[in-house]
Amino acid sequence: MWQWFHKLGSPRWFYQTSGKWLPWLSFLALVFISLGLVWGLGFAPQDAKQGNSFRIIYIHVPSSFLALVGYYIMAIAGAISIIWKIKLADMVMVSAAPIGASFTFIALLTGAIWGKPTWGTYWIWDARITSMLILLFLYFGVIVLQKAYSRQGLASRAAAYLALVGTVNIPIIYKSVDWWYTLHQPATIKFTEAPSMHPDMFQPLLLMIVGFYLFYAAVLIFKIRVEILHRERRTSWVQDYFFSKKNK
Amino acid sequence: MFQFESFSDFLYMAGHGQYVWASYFISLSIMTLVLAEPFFRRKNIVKEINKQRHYDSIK
Amino acid sequence: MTNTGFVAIFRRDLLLAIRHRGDLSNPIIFFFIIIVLVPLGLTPESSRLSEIAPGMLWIIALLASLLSLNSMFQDDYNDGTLEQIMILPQPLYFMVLAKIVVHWMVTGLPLSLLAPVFGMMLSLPEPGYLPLMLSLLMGTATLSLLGAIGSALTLPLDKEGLLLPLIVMPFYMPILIFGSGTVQFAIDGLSILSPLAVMGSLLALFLFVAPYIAAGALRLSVEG
Repeated sequence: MWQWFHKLGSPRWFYQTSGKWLPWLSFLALVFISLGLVWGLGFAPQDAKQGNSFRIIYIHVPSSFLALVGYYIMAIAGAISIIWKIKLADMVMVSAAPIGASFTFIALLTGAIWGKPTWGTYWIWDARITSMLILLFLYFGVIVLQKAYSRQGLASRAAAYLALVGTVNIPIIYKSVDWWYTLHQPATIKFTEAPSMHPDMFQPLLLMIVGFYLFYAAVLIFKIRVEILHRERRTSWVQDYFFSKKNK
Repeated sequence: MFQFESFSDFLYMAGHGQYVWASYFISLSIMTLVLAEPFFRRKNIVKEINKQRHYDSIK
Repeated sequence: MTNTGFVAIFRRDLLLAIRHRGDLSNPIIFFFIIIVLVPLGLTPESSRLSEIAPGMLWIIALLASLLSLNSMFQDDYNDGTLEQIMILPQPLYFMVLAKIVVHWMVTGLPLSLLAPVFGMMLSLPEPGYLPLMLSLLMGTATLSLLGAIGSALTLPLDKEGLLLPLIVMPFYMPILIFGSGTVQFAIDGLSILSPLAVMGSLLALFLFVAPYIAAGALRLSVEG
């Protein structure tokens, strides 16, 4: 039983197995996102109050989900790497960090751009945006801490500890920002997320959410594969893999 | 059905076009960059491996 | 429940701190200097200062705590004492806790006790004084606990100036929110029980969790 578990943690096994699935995963992601884009941009009805800028939701919401989920994936991978000392988990964490940070940034950016036509200002300190900004800082902390260490083993363990502390703190941070915002909330504005959505508006959103998750998975697996190649570049299986490729 | 009268309408989006298109363009560009980075990194690794093999075989 | 490891490290660190008496006043002097910046940069008007006083006082306390974090482990790490401490049979948790407590006694505690003076300088309204002290007492303790984790994680990275603040800041934010919220509630005539209770729970939580994580991070930094 443990044999299976440890096989799961073998970089080589992962590399060989993921290679079979990755093309399909990428293709599916492309399909879902393309469909969602076309539908959302051109065919979904516009919002009664916000008009066409409402369409930004099709990027904003999926990225927000992935921003948060991505952090947990990173943190859980880190925890697994510390507790069971599985190197592959370590590589998952390292690869997941920049992807999650990018989605957090996209969520903030699209949120800000959406804000301008909706409330007249690019930036507003409401609970959601503020929490998301803090999440970005949490990501930056993990990434920067990791890069600061020169030795990979130390770098990953330190980053994993930090990610874990972040995990404990994320609910605390979100709750406290929420509390803070309800105290100071100006009477007028409440962060709009498309109040009640017509199915014609919701369906493309669903497509995009699924598409983004698939995209995340595909990119993550791709990055992990490259990380494996990098860390195992001196082993015979990697060398043979490229040698035989070159001589085809 | 298609929500806009013409293609220029589609771009303009009743005045909101700049916001919508800016969001989509920047976001999709970032996602493309995220996707592309491993490609470049792998190319470098392969280059390095081949260089190493070359040196090893000379020895 | 006197734990010999705790007591030993506690006494040692406290003694060291007292011997470096000059350093003890640093957080306080820092606080005074930054407080001068506030009216200089904003306005000397009493009424406007009192509006921002709760938040400003808390922000400065946060910064003072942040800047003093280095003293917790760095010196012992540099001269090898930390390694020695970690070899001892006593659980590292208590020894780390002892260091944190001393750190707080030397930074957060004096600041909290002097809070009324600082409050007066920023025209803090009357009802805010006691809540300020209470929230600072609990809050700075929590900040020391959280800071210990960040400090332990960045120990071998001596040259990275802003790395520690970058890492620790997001965790400090909820403390800031509830700390200044406690003071503001009092000023607005509301009961401070709920924000104070949150401060208490956060303190309890990190009192339990932080020394463990910091100990783990220390092992990482030292064993390498």
